[in-house]
Amino acid sequence: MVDATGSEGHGVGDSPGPDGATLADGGTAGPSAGGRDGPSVEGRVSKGAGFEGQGAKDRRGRLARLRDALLTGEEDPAALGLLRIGLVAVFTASLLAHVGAVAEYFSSASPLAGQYARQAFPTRWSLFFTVDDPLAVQAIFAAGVVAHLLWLVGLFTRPAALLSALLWVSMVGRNPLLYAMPDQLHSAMIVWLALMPTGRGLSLDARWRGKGGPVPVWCRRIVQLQLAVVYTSTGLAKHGATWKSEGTAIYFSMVSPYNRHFDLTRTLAMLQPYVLRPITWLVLAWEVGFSGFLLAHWLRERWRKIPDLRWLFLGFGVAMHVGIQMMMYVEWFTPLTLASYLAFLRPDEVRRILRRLART
Amino acid sequence: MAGLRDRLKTAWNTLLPLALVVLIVGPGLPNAALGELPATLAQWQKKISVVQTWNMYAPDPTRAHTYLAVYAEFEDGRREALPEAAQAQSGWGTTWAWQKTRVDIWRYYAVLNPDKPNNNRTWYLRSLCVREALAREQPPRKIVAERVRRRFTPPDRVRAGKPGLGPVERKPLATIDCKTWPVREMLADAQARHG
Repeated sequence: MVDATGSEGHGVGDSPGPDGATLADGGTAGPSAGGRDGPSVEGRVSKGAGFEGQGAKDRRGRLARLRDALLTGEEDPAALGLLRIGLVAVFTASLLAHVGAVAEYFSSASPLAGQYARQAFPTRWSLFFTVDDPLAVQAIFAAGVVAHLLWLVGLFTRPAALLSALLWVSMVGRNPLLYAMPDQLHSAMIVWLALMPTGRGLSLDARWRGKGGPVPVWCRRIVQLQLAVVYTSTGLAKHGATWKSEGTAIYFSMVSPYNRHFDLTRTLAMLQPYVLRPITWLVLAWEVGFSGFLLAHWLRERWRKIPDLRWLFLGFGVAMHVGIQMMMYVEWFTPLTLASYLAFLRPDEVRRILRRLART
Repeated sequence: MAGLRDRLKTAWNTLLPLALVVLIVGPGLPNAALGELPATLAQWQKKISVVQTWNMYAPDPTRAHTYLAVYAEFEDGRREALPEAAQAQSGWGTTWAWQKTRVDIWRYYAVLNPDKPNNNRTWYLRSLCVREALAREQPPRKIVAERVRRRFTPPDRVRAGKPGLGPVERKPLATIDCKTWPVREMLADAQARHG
């Protein structure tokens, strides 16, 4: 929730109102106020409340306050709405890249089909193990594309989100060998996002169907946590010599003909001792340190003396991913991670951006 | 009624994120400390293709690239290079997204662990028997795969004037007889479906 200091994600001191809105600022909240996202919702989300000691006195126990601060407190839905738009745009683009090969990959028209596909991938579930007629598979895919588009604009958001996730899980489950690590992040993000109330802000559901309202603070935190687990797990797994003593990991990554955009081997070799080696170590330190950054980011909501490290950490991440995207073919990894970074924008920052965009 | 709804909402917004935290963090925790729990969680999530194993370019990025080159052998003794072999021949330059298909990812998995049994490779080669049989009059008798690899030259040697890629190394990988089980049955099924 947005407090007077502009901090993110706190329900401390709030008590839920009749429609789930927080009332710590004494504002009105009721069904009639829930019809739009925009200033009305922003106003309902406990502007004056926030940290302990600010706003109304909270007489509840420490545990309830901690639970609110971490999970159940509510915030303006704009930030989650923008995160939805960013991530679902990437999901949709990735999905559309399958057009032309849907029957070949997922139906009985595939060279690996029927009971043999199930034998090949016994640990997976897929709708396409059951429905495998090429036309039916293509029709389900088309319905999934429509669901993605509805999710993107936030119309009938919940069913659209669930259908979108079901389609993606079915595609990956039908033949997981067509998918790589970037798709693995796609799978995790689409399932988690489908479980969140992503249609309450910046959505047609909020504007047209009266489905707007605040969202719990845990939503963006789950996306932040997923990113931290990706980076830190990967960083900890990088214990080989190329990442440590040699510092040649980035060099070897960028000279692989499997995914290099440019053959710059000689230039990269020249840059290795002075540029690539320090960058290799910096990337490793950044990845391992990402969980520490996230912890500091969460603690900062309680202890404001902790500096805001978002621009440093996420700025480095943006530069790294854009660099990777320019130099190498990595599927949808860069757009997906950069869209996930939107989870770190606070609702008040998102509102400010939107106001600025509206003015231009 | 409103009180009950609020309590249910609070419970949902407490239990759901906690469950998600377990699903995100749990599979990565050490088995030694938690028994079979992380592995069980990972297995369960794998069912819906949500996998929490993150090891891009770890422990090291690869120092060589390997292609799967595949040939079809026919009853009359002919041996024909399939598109996979052409890729192994010419795929040493640069790569852009529009040159790739998702099948390239399968080929990448299929060529891993060349000295060990690899189910991903076996199923890929079996599917090639079907693909090639449906694409031509005479079905292949065998599909023969080899590994084509080139090592990346370390930067200090490139600076000393060596080429960026080492010489081509070829090694036999696997042979699939298209007339044995289960390929014969896969082919019969596919032919029935395709009329």
